[in-house]
Amino acid sequence: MKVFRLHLLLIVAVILAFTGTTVFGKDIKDLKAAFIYVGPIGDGGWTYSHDLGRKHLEKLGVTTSYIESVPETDSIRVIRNFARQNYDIIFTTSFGYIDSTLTVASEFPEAVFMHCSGFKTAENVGTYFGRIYQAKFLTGIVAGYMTKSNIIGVIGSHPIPEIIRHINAFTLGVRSVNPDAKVKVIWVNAWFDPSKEGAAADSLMDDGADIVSITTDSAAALKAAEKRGKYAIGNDSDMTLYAPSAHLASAVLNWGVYYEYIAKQVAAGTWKTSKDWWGIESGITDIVGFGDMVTADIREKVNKKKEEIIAEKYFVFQGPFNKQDGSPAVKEGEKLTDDQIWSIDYFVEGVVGSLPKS
Amino acid sequence: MIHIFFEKRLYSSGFIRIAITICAIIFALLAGGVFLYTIGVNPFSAYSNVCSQIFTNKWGIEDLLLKMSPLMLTGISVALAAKMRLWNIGADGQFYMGACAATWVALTFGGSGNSLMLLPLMFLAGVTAGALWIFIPAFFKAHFNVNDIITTLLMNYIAISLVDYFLFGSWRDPNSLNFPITALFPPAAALPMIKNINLHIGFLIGIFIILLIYFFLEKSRFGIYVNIVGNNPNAAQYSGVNKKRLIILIMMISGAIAGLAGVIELTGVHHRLQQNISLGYGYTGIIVTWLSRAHPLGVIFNAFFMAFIFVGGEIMQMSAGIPVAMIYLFQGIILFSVLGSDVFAEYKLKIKKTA
Repeated sequence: MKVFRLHLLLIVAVILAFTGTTVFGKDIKDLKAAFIYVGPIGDGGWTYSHDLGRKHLEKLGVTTSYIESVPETDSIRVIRNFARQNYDIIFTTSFGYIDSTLTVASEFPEAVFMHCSGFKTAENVGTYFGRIYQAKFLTGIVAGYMTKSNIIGVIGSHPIPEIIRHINAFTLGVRSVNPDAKVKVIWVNAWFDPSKEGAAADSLMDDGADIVSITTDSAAALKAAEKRGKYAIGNDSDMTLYAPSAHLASAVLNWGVYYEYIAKQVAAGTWKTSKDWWGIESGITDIVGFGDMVTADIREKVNKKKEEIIAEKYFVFQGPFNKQDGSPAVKEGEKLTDDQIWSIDYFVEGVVGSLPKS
Repeated sequence: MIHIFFEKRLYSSGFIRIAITICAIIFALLAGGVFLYTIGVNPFSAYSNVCSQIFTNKWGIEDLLLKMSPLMLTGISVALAAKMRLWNIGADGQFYMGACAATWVALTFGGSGNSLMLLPLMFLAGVTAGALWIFIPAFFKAHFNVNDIITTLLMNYIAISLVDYFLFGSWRDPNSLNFPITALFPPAAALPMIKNINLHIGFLIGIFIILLIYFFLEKSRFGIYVNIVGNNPNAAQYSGVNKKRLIILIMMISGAIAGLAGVIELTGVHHRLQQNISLGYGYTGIIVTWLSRAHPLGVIFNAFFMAFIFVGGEIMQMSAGIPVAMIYLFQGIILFSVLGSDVFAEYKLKIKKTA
């Protein structure tokens, strides 16, 4: 009996020795990760921030590949082509890739698909995003202090909850220090369209705005503000370089920390689908690149608020605040739940602009 | 002194044209290769990689044919009008209107039990919408000689705005969280696939339509009229052709085909209406027509060629990490040299020494 047990142990040990790599997962250096971008990596904003995350993975030894400027209507072929080439993780980094990601994922159950900013998951599809609305709130505080005309312009990309959320958070930030200020919104119905973004910035400034903030992907609006001697706030990446004398601050996303976390999980074989929404405490989002015109006093106030948010003493969507029409949205002492924040479909008080009716 | 000048060829055969086009493509590949070399990519391995990925993989070819399908239809749409020296710059708009009308059918009747009739009805609606959309420019061209390039082009922007109106309005999927897309259509609205390959039958429809137009132009009495009016509008007057009616008819067929392309992309690829479903296919169709000199069979070849440039560009990005700007540059060089080489088909380059 003893001999038999010993043999059994030996057999198990041999099996483990040969298959150990698959049982205990593989090395992160054996991973292949693909990225699908909606704009060019040189957009200086959204896609650029994801590409910095990709480069972070490269540094860790992950083999990566990417395709830029993939229209949302042409994404299914591109995603499928990556899946066919046995990539372990495929990051699809635009909201409009939502259904094409799910379709391809159902055809390739072995691969892990990560869809950024979406809300549909499957067994091998996870979603992820950063709570950049927290950083947007902080940039709003800067804008609230810096505006003289009390009109701040925002360029809206698509009127979906993600963007409505960001505009609301920004506006709440502005009005937390300057209740008289108004935030005017113009929609361009595009993620990346520098000429439209620049033209929209000009219209907002013609309309009295002395600060322009964006929810789109390029720095065109910041350049337009710089040209006219106005101020601007960057989005997704630090946009200081594009408009050094106009740049007040940028709300940024640092995807590297998150991509490393996912790659390690996939390598270890412990990855499971989830809806990840990391906040400012994780470092995935932050306010950076204060311009010289932003005084130390303002910076200190912003940093204090940031510490309060990190310590969960302050919540961006805490009451009391009203909806755009003045009716109460959240009462004193209450706050929106994550689900409510995620699917928010109304503007808060102080926003001037309209949402398409459904 | 050395004089370099062009001399008109006495005749320009099809053989010369094809030879010159091939030379132009080789020139473009060499010129593009220099750019690739400057960013540290070996052009020969990049090219061979593209060819091996497209032609040795089943899915490489599938991808190519899928991309080629709408280009064949928008190409033949523009080419047919061009036969009469009419410019349908509005194929993109007719594409959108075709998709838009088909969507209306799918959203209105998709829920009802009669699923067998759904797809034919969508096709009927899309083709009709494409034809009606170009009727306005066609009518004014025929009766008042209003410039068709301008009117057909401007109709595109109206079409896109109209699609936006529905997408942002009553057609928006309530589950899309405000994103301007319609709900997915029922399975009955999906175009059948070709057996054993990942390709919808729209590809075969495209080939069929092109052959139909070819025989119509070459063999039918009607086709002869089209050629007469196209080659010499004045002669047409004396031969008793009703030129006005012919203009309107040909333009409406052209619009119907572009509308058909829209329905096929909608039912074969997207299964829902959303923004940018055309991806500029109407405009690429103009390039296809130009490259093929409006010859229907040339449209098949050049739709293939344009699809090859698109898909090849993607493969280069994927495998060699070449930036998309370089791919655009590449596509530009190829088109520029192929279109520019035309001059050598018409003229000879002469070098003469004079005292």
